[in-house]
Amino acid sequence: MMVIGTNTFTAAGLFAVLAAMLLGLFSTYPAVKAGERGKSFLKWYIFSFFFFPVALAATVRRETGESGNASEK
Amino acid sequence: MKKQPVSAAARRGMSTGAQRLLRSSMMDTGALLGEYGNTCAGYDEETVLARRGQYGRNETSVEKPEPFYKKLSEAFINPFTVVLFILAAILFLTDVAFAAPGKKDPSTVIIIAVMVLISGTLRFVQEARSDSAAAKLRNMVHTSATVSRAATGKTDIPISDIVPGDIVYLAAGDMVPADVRVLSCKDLFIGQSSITGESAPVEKTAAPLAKAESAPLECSNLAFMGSNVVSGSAVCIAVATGGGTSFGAVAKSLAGKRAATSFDKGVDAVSRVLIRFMLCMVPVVFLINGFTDGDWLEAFMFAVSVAVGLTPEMLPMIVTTNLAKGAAAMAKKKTIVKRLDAMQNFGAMDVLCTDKTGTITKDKVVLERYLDVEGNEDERVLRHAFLNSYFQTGLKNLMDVAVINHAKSEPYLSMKEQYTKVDEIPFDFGRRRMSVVVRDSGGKTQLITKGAVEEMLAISSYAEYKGRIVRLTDEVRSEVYETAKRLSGEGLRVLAVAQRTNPPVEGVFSVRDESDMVLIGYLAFLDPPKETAASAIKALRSYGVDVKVLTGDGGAVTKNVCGKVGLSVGRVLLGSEIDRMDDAALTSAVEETSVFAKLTPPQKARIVRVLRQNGHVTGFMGDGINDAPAMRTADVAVSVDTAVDIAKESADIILLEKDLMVLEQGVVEGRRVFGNIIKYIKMTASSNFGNMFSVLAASVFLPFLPMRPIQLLLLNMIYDASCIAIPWDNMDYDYLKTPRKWDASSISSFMAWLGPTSSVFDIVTYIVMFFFICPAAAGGAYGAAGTDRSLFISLFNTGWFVESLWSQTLVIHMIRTPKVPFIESHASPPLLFSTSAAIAAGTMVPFTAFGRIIGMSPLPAEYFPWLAVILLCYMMLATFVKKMYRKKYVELL
Repeated sequence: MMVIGTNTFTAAGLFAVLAAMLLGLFSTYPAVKAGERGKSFLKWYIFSFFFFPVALAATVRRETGESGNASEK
Repeated sequence: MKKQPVSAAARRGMSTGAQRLLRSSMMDTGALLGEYGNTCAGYDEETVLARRGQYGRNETSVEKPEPFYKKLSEAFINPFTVVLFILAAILFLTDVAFAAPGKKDPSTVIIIAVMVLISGTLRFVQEARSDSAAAKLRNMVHTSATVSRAATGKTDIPISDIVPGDIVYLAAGDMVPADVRVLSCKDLFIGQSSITGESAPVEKTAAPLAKAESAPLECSNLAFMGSNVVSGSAVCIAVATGGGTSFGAVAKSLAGKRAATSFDKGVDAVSRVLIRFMLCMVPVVFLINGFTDGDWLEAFMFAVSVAVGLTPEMLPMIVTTNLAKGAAAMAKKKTIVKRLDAMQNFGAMDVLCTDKTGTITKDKVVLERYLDVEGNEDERVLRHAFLNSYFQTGLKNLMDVAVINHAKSEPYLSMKEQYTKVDEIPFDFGRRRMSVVVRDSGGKTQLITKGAVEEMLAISSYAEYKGRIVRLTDEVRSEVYETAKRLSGEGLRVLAVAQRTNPPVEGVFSVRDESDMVLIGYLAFLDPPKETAASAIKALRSYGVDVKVLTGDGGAVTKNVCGKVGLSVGRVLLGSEIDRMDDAALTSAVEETSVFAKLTPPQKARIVRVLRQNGHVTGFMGDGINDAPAMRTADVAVSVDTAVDIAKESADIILLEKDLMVLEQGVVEGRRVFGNIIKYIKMTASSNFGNMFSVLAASVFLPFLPMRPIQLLLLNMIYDASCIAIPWDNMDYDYLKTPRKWDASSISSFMAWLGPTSSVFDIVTYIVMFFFICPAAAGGAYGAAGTDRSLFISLFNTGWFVESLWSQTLVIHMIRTPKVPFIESHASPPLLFSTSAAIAAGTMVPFTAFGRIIGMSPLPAEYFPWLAVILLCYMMLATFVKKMYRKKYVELL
């Protein structure tokens, strides 16, 4: 069981850092995919970091669309 | 008898070696002996000593062995150990020298000292072993020469004892021991390929030249140190010795520090990145800890421990062990690696320049073609040539040997029994041909002559032309000239063969009988490529190494040989053309050209320098004196066992076997070495970078240090110990297919991507320990009443210590391959063992008395399921990040 006690600053800080780091790592996915399409990796990385759900959704939609088009061909 | 000293005038004339040689080429024997104050009986001992004092020993050694103390200091002093020495000194002052009585604690200093000691000693031992192998190789070579000395007469002495003016005797097979002027000779042919690159032996004569040549190499009565006597014998006078010889001039040009190779630059760049990173991060850790906790001494101690952790002190040792392991692997393939770093340069090499003669060719003459007058292959020509070469009893020259070697099978062997020799007309340099008279079992007699084409045409009145014997008209004669010219144009040495059936005189034959002969065809000779040259070049190409030929030999012969070994010849760039090019023009020319001919030593070196400036890691393989400057300029210099000493001295790698396929094996081994080096650097750098994130987060958000300084150092030491087996690790085949160079920027990007990956799980461990494990074991949340605070902290430290060790060690397996670890690619048994042992040892430490001494507590059972989940998630995330990294940067390592 999680015991926080009076250590809310520690809890908030560690969880925030963890979330930020995971976000930083997962944001590479939309950025790499954008890079493959010739877009700026850095711009997409920054965009993904702050709007990850949007960037991920856009990337997944494009990927699904492309694989659909490829299978139709 | 006391000899006259060299006159002042003579000494004035000896201002330069070249001038002295040119002058001596025009002097007669009496004048030369007078100039050097010698007679054919030779110098007495006193004069020899006086002249040795004046001119020095006849030695041209380029490199002196490094003294012991220098080797020792180089093994121990590098940027990383300097950092550790400074940290250890600081800790010695704070923990021991100025510590309060009873609080003196030298343990941290001892741990750092042990790290430096292990790293430096291993490096020193590895380098000493390699040097010893190279020294043994050098000691295998002993050379002597025959000279006249007053006391002992004609005697053998070490080459280094020869002084200018010595009377030197040369015979077939001898190495020319100094720059000499030929006083008398018989059929003297000298192989100068090691100096000029020209594979054909050059005829030397004794007569003084009527007018001065432009360069000593043009003089037919001079022979040069480093060349060798192919045939004949001579009596000569030494004109220049040691550093005064042409050979010595090349040696002087090689003196001084060698330009930094690709390896040197790479290690410097990487070291700078890692140290800069450490110097930036440590003050940040110190300040954050100091401001958040207020205990500046503890913050300082922790920052110093972090600095030690961030210093890849094992890097020099790992690099040296990797290189030495590669060198040992090459030694098993009969290849000596003289300079350890050459192993990595070998793997990084993307252009290999090679001399032609003696490196890709055999440096010997073989019969390449036997053709009729029209230029079609004709066995009859070979049969006649065989009879001529086999039955002649004079000195068999290289062509005779080549013909006999070529005709080793039937029907040639039985011809020895079918024919008997009647007479012979020996070779002489005036006629440039030789004849034998043979009789077959049917009683038919034949005069068979072979020799230079012009001479053979002069004595022939007929030719076997289009199946008939026709008169040698001007038309046929010009066709013969054209065919011979075409063959010469292909780089072949051409002789003609003629015969005359039942010559009128029997019994006593003379030169007059060599007339009205029937020209039957030609023999064409070539210095052929080594058997493995073509396959080695093909294999090198398949590994991304472009091969270029740089030779002093002529364009035609070079083009021919290069075509045979599968090089796309295209345009052949000559030395004279290169001299007319500025560096800008040469920069593009070297990229477009594969074959360079008629090059002088400085031109070879210039091409190598321009290739390096173009960003290529350039190797040079040579065996001659004329190759030494280029070898010195190259990133990696390769030579062969038959090379002249100066080439072997300039070489980083010496092939003891003729098999050139060892080049491919060397390239692969070099890439394996580099792969394992870069593996250590990248995993250590990324792991350290990740730890920095974790430590910074802990400094800000945790109310205590996440790990004690001594624990941090122990963790670092165990991790380093597990890395000792990295040089024995496997590399994926895909990695070995392309040249590998140092790239400091790839280390930074790797750190930025993979570092935070491990840090994520450090933070997860903090959360698990701080909010789950420690409260359960210590009786409540940190700071709450009734909580055992010291147990809480000790358990927290221990939990992170164990997780950190597992993740740091697992990262070795995650990062060593772009494939799925343990499934698609697995580490070598030594690495598996060392990492498993490190994990086992580190996990057990908290349960031991030693663990308690350094402030650890035994971990509760519920910790380990958490650890398993954390590590599983870590591997999954690392796999994802690896995949993303490869999509962005293509290469993982």
